[in-house]
Amino acid sequence: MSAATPGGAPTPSGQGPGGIVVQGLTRRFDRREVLRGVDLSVAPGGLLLVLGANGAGKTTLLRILATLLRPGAGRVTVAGTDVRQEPEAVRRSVGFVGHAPLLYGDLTLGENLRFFAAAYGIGSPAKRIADVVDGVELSLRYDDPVRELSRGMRQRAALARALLHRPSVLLLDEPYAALDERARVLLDGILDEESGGTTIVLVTHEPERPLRWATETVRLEDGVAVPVDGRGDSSGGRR
Amino acid sequence: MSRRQYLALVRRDLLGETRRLQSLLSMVIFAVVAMVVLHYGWHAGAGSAWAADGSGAVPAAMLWVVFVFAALLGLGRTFAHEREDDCLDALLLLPVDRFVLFLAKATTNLLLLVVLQAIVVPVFALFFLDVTAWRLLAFVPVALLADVGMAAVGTLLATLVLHARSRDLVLPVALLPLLVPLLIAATSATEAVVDQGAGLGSIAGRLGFLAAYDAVMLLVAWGTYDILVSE
Repeated sequence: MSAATPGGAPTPSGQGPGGIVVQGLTRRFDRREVLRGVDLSVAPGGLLLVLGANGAGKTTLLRILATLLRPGAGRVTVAGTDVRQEPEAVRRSVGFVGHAPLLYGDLTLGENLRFFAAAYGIGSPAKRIADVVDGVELSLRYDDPVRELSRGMRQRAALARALLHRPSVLLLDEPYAALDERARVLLDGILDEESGGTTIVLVTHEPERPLRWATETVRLEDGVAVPVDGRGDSSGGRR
Repeated sequence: MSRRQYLALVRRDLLGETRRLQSLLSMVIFAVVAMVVLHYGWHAGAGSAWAADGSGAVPAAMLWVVFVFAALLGLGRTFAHEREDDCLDALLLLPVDRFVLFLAKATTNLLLLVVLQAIVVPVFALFFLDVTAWRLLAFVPVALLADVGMAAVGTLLATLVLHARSRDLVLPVALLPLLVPLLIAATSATEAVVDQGAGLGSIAGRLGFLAAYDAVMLLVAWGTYDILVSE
């Protein structure tokens, strides 16, 4: 597994079909340069833990990987595809869990998932929807409007939405936030299941919990990615 | 795949609208109230005098003024569900061509405008017009072409002001000037429809103009929507 290599080119391990390669990524908002030459790579099936203080650019990095923001400069490939040249293909490969559940409150959980299944072109989606809803233990709330779900349940529903189209890359922004202990265990189970097969980038303030799946860890400091001790080399894999 | 995605997007928007009916209800209520007030003024004197010469200019203008302001209420809510539920990112994450996204939103707006007109025009005819039903049928292509243009430019600008702080204020200010050519052509064509003395053949040129306006707006959307909606 490659490491983030500040100031240098990342190793090519992220160039596989499910991997991620970021080279010299910059991004500014007005006059503020949030990312100042980020280099990192994640091999297919790896889990990159991204740490950093508030405002360090963690969410910006994740949104660029998800094609929600355009990179300022530099090269970003996700699942072997350049985010600038083929954003649609990248979106097909990516599952994203952000701060909001990204679900329509007026619609039931089932209606939401049927909509996303159709939009992702999932054929015969009923079985897949049932599987992901079971996976996040929301089968009993399937016909309830999302607005009536608790915050923790909405977060679980967001996971179901993100996993629905079997993404090869999962981007998780503070996924443990708002979850109670039972739901955290549930998320642990999902990470357990997905890690190894799905490339995961997980942004968090609380690294202790997902650390066991991390194949590498970086801290965003002053707009660059700095490898964190013991996680930057190939020996720092899952445990 | 795009067709399926397009249909899924339209179906979702319509499902959301039928749950709350906020856009359509506000548009219809505004239009009906405006017509009731105009009807009062019309029969109080001035309108009767205008109507006496049989010209359709004033009723046609009244119809389109009422209609465009009612439409503004709906167009302003193009991304209301996404904003209220904080899920615009969900749309942007879909592996859908941005122009398909535009077409889906514009289609929903178009359907709302058509339903609005289906309710408003008969009421308007009852209040202000003395025309036969078959003649009123000639209004259908005028309304449809104008609706397409209004939905297209309305969706474009609703996207443009999506992240603006005073979008409720900015949208009408930006939209109305762009709609002026369309409104003049639609009003002129409607005048010919409601004017019993005019031949319907005279609306062909206006219909051609409306079709050209629609084509230009759709082309602009095709060329720019990716940039407009991205950030």
